[in-house]
Amino acid sequence: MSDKLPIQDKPYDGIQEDNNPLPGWWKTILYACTVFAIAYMVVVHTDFLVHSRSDMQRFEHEIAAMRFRQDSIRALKPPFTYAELTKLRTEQGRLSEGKGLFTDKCVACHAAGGAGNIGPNLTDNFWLHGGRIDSVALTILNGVSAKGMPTWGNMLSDEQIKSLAIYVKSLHGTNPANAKPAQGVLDTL
Amino acid sequence: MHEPTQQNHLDKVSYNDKVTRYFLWATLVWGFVGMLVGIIIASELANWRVNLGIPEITFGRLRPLHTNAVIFGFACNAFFTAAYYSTQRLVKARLYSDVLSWIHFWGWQAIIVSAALTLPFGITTAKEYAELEWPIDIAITLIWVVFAVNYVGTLLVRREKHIYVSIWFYLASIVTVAALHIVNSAEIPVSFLKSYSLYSGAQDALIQWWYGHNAVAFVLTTPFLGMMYYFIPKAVGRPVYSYRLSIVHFWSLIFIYIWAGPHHLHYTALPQWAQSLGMVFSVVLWMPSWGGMINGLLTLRGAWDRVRQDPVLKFLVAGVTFYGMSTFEGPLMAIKSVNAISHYTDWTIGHVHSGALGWVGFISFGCLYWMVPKLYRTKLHSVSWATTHFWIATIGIVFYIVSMWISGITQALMLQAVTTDGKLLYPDFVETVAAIEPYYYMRLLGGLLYFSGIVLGIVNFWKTMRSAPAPQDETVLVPARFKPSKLTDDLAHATESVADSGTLIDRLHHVLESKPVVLTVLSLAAIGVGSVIEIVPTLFIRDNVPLIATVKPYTPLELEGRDLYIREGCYNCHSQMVRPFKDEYLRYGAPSRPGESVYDHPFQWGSKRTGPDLARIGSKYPDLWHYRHMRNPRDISSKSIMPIFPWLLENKLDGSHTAAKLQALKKVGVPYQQEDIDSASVHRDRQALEIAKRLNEQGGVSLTVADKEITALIAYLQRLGTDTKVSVP
Repeated sequence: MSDKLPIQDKPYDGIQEDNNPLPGWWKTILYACTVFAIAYMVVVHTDFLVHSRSDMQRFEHEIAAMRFRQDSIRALKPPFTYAELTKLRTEQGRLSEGKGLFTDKCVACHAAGGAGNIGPNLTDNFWLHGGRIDSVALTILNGVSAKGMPTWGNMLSDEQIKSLAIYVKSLHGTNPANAKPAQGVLDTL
Repeated sequence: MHEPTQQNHLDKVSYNDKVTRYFLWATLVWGFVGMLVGIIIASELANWRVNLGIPEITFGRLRPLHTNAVIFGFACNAFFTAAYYSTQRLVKARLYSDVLSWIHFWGWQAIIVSAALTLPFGITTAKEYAELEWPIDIAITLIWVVFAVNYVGTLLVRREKHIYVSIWFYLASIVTVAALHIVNSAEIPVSFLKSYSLYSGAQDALIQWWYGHNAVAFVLTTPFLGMMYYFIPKAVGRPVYSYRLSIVHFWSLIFIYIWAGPHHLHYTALPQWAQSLGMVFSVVLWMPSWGGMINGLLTLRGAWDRVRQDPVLKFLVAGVTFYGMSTFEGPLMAIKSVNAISHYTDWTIGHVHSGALGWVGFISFGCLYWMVPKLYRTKLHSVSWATTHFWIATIGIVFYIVSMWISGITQALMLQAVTTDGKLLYPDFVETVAAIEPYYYMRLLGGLLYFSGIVLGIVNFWKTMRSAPAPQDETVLVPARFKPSKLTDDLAHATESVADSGTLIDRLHHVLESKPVVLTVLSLAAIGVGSVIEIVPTLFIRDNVPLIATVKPYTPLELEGRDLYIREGCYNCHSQMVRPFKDEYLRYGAPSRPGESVYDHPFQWGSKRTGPDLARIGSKYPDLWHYRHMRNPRDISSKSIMPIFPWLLENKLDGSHTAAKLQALKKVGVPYQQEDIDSASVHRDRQALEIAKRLNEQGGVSLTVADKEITALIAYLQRLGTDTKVSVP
């Protein structure tokens, strides 16, 4: 147990010190952590035991796999066709889902009702990137990075983008108050 | 062989308790102020309206005041109080110089006052816990040297030959803090209250977190371990558990701690080898930290019942327990896969507060409750108040850390959620903020409870002081100055008939304890190893920070905007560092690379994301978006909790130092040409006008906006990340 310190001649301001041995579990964990530390450096930073990948390589691999999966899905079925979107316009719930998304994500730039503010007016006959419903959906999907429109495809599902495009097209001709002047070219398709 | 330790004659010595009492009250005053500011900023996070639109008390400006007041005001003064009190008694000598003691006291308080007079006004270097500008940095250095001379001087006139373990910890803290402060605060002045860090980008980040992490180690840990070693055995009247454990954990702790800084930079653009070193040394650090906890707690062996009655022991024991908890949580969070979740979230805030409130706060108050009756030669006004203080504060801490665990982990999991077809499940950052808002109120409640405890403690001390007789310095009879023995004789004696290696270590170390200066130099060497191995290659080996040809220095206007970003403390809530994760790629863009921030003096990688990352915000939105967003973020994002910054739209940009700023940056290696510097103001005004025209076109903003601060900030924000933007096909 506690063997009295043989070398302490007198207490420090009344404080005595015992000299119990280092606890066994304490030493064991300390050694184990040290072994882990060395093993980690060897495994992660050398090819000595296993082939190691840097964080950046792991990341690039993950993204490539994700892109491959998305491309495979897209190859089987193009995301938006004019025919499908036109059919969906009458589907139950599409319009309300689109309106919810629009209020959440779009009004900051396009203003309520699509009157336009930072972004263009969405209610008139003029379009910067095409006014046909599939063009609108594609613009939402890819964004327009030069003009500050985000790539919503990273954030919204294809189904959500479809509903959003349907809602946007429903705004056509609503003539909201304070509408932004027309931009782009006439496109009434 | 026993040396003649004392002659028959005794000297009378009085301790300088007066300066100790002053430090004690300074601890309480700054504790009150620092934590009150903490409560204000916690309310601002819970509800953005709380700052009332006043620039000086906006979160980004006030948060550095909170950390500085608590670390340098509360914790450092607690350390000075306890170190001066305990050291005089441990070495049986009065403080070396009364004059130096008072310079130390008033100088240090003036530094904290100057922090309060600069930080709310946006005068900051933007390096966390080292925000104070260069004249104050110099003052800190000078006062710290005064402290060091006074402290080491006291040891040199000591009446006890050997120095006790508390003093080893105090000495290691004093030299290491000096080294950290001087290296990290190296900066080039632009004007009296503005400077730029000597280092940039990844190098600045490494040095900053070498400093930041070891400020936690050598300001908030080692001094308090020293205090623990004195006040626990004093309060409980039992021998310290293990002398050998104190030797082993002291040296392993200081040697290993210094390496761990890069764990604040996991998955960033810091070279991965440095991140790995930071991680593995943090893991190895676990047991050396727990060595202190074991020695603290097991000193109570056989006397646990005393904890029931004595508030001093309640604080000290709970403090050590919180220490054990945070020094387990720390290594856990330093493991990269855990850090991927915890970093940039409230989990880190919870972790630091379990250390700050639980360990630093409780050890401080345990020591104060012990010292106040001694220093005022009377009984504590109310033991039951002290016990109440303990319980309120404990419940407060629990509210604080539990709410931060829930909020941090919730937000991280929401942000990282990516569907199988590669979409973010919660694409809007603000959705994740809305989800954790209730926990901001819960944290505020925890803080209020802890703060009420402090107020109760201060009233208790005040009443104790008022009822005390006139204070006087304690006078004691001390042995005559010991006769110095030859080091060679001591070493020969130590190695005589040694039974085992453990005994040899004990005996050699005991000899070292009679040589405080040698022990100090060895401590400096122990912290030097890790520092040099991590810092030198990052500074001098180019491969660690490969340049990117398209990355260019900021334009004069962007630079002014960057200084506004720093002034408003944007870095307190926004990172500029995209980590190589799928969700961050989808949300912010490609991972940040070290070459992207080579002209960033200081770096702006950030450490917390209360709002989204801004590394690639440039050209993501039109100028008008930023204009309206700074005026009122709710106009753009209805659930935003960001403060309003309307003054940026009204204040005229102070361009009087633009050329001097470029000149200063040129000196630290940013490749500005002389003609850039000469034409700085013209170029700045021209770019401002371009932005004003765009704002006018996009939203009819008056062209008078051209000379306002907002155009500079927009210029800076619109630049971020654009140098490396790859056009999407």
